[in-house]
Amino acid sequence: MSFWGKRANMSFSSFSELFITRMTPRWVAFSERWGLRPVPLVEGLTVWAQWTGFTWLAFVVSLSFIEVGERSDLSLLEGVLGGALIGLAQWMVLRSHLFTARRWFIATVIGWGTLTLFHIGALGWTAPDTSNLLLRSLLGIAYGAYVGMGLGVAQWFAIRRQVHSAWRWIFLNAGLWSVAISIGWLVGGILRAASHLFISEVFGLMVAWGAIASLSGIGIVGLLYQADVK
Amino acid sequence: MLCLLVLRPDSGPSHQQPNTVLIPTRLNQNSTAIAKPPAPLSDFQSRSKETDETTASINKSIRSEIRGVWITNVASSVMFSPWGIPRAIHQLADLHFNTLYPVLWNRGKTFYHSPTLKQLIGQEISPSMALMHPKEDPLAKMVRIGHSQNMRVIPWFEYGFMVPLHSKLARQHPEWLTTKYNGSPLLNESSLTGQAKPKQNVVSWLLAPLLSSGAPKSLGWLNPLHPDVQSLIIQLAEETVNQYDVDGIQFDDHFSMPADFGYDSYTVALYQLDHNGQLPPEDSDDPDWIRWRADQFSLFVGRLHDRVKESCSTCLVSISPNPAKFAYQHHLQDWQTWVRRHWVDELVVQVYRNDIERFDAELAKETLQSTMDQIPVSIGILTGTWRRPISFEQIKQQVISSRDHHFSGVTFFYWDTLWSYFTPESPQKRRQNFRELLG
Repeated sequence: MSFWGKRANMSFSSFSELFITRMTPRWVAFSERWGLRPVPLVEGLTVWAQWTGFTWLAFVVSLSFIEVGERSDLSLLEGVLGGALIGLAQWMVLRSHLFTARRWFIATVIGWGTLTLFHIGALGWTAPDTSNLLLRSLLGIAYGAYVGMGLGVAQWFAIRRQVHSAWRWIFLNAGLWSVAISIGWLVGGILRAASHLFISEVFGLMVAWGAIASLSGIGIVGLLYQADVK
Repeated sequence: MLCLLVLRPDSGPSHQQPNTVLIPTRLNQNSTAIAKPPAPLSDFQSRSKETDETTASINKSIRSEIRGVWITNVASSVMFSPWGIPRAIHQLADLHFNTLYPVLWNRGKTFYHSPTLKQLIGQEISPSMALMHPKEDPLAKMVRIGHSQNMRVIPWFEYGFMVPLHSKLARQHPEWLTTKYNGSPLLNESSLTGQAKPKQNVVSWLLAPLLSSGAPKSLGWLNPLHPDVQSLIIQLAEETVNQYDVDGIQFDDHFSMPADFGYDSYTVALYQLDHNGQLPPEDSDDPDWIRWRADQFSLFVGRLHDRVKESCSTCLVSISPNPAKFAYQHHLQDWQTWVRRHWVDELVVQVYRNDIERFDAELAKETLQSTMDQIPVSIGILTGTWRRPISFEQIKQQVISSRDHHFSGVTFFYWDTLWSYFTPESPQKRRQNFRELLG
């Protein structure tokens, strides 16, 4: 082995040792504290992929029935319809893991309906009526957190009896919606400025839903595979 | 305001006996029949008295301005979902539109069940339409729902003589295609617009593969002077007005011959027959050469008008060309002559200009003003394409200008850019704006 090869090996080995010895106890402590257990890799990935794919596809299908618009454009019916499609897709994944999966569906529908009634509109199908990118990002963070928390509360009702510390879902959901909507509205705003076409907002929301689906998928896998699922 | 009921079923000279194909030699002179007869007409069901009464009733109901819209399948989803057509028509009716111009034919395919095309290429309707609308074809659906909403339905030959070179029609009958001086049947964008292809922005470039899916890469032009081509168009028009309770039929700027075409062997032989064996000029813009081709084409228009009226006396023959000078010089459409000879019942002139001053100037031209004295004239307004989105403000200015010039109404190109994702504003906002404008 050449000098550089030896040096590179030593360097990597030192780093990985340092990383593993220092970080592993922390990860273990974190897992114990939150009641997480190691997830079988293939099983966990399968659930995550199903959740992500079904949720995102449900959004795409919903575009056939719901017209994306600017805030206050959407009706209660559209909010409920969107919630039903997303809830249905997620129920299909959850039903083999949760006894209360049906409640998840109902909670999702009620959650979207209520949010629409609260004049925030069905945020997952809405674009902000400003072209200012900074404002879009900030609005995305704020409204995303609001909607994520609202939905999280509704869904918490559905899983609280079976999942340990299910209240964590509320904050997790608020955080991921906040990040995802902010990114989606930013992407939509950039594309719309370049194309002058409203369809850019739809692309932005597709990006947002991709982020929502994949991030919430990680959260769901974590919740489902924790040590003391009831 | 002009009333729309301007029908002249008895007008225009009859140039031929039914079921014969003629080679016209000169405008206003008798035509010379040649040997080839057209394919026999199918046994179409003739229109009932009730059908004509319905048509007359709807025409009567349109006493205010014409508010039309073209509906196509190109870069549009309206025909690709079972609920697309009903939803579109109900929205249009809700916003006080009163005329539909749905696509009848493009890319060598029809959007209704055509016995003529079945006989010719073995395909009676566009396969995707047959799949999407198995029970009722799109045209029948448009007529049924449109009439239930008290709207006129005037199907439109979208591509006119333009066909993809790979289409069954073009492959089976290459002799029907006209060519340029270099012998190529391939159509360039500049042949139609006189301009180079517009530049695309990044998003348009990203959208292009999605929206152009299925769009033909290479297009050709059926020779409008060829008797078999003429026969095909006449039969398609006849079977449409016979089979469907339509209020008329429309031909647009593609119902023409681009000025750089006409060098195919048939047209050249016809020209030589008329010019003591002399070949047509190399310069496709030669004024005499343009005049000769335009006159030949006009003769066909007269015959087409007569045949449509023979089948359905109450059906309108509507045209939607470009302004007169451009239409004549670039598309060889001498529509002023057509109007003068009473071959046209309704004119929708495409005035697709971004600059309001140029738009106004076009509307103020003497040709349009004098045409208004003869037939209803409405203004075709571009509401955008996915490559060229147009703000509502521009549309509003143009509608107001058309009203100020006392035209019979406006027609928008096209449905998907009235209010959809392919507009600068949200669909809801556009609908709200149109409601206020047309309310």
